[in-house]
Amino acid sequence: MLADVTVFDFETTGVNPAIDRIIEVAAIRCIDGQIVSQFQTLVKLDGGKLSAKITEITGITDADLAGGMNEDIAFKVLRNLAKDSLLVAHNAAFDLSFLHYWMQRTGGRTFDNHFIDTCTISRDRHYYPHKLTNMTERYGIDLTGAHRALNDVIGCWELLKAMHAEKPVDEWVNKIGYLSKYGPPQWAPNYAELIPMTNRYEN
Amino acid sequence: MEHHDSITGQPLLRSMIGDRIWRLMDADPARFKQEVRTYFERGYPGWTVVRAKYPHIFLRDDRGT
Repeated sequence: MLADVTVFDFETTGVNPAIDRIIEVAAIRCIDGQIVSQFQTLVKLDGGKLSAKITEITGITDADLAGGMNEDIAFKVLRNLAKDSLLVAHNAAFDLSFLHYWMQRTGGRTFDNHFIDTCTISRDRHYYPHKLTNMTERYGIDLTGAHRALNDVIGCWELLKAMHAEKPVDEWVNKIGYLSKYGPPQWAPNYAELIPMTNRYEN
Repeated sequence: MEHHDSITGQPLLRSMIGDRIWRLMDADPARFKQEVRTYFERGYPGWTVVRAKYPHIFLRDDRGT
């Protein structure tokens, strides 16, 4: 099931994949349980400045991005790293939608990789909250430097392995859970199964 | 082609830098090295720049050492 996986994460300028931009990319390719390749880059933000809020969340500044790579080259490296592996992200609807819009901008295509969303599994198995930091803590995983993309992908990979050891995650391939009160995500792959969910709270 | 640390065998982190810094590689190699080091010291403290081969900068994770 987890023989060939790419865990990836984007830091972005906002939450709207149609208009906001990716400012940091990180991905690790894991084959037979071992990290065989890891990639991270900051992406230059053409014609814009980071909001104070994003700098506060990510720690990324305009000075950092000034030395970043062009978006199209970073994208090619990411695609070359992931190839047709199983894509994994925490809150995958967010990252997959940014990947889709990114591909649309850089070549008018999209992807057809199978994927797993660890946040959807979290909502099914655990009480609220389900942020990556909450879930890594719950599984006893050390997550240093959250909200920097590389640290988050390594945390997500460890979380996926822990969840799979707890109970196989096979049934969660290509499923995206969303909170009923907010409705389905703005974009999802056409082969995704969208599942309405509600948070469960511990008394 | 994958790149690994020759001692630990761990995969090196592939990262990237912008064109402005790459242009220094031929024009001013000493300044290129300094700019790359400064860039990653700020963005990824604890990682050591191992080598540069366009379009990648390869870094080793020395945070635990």
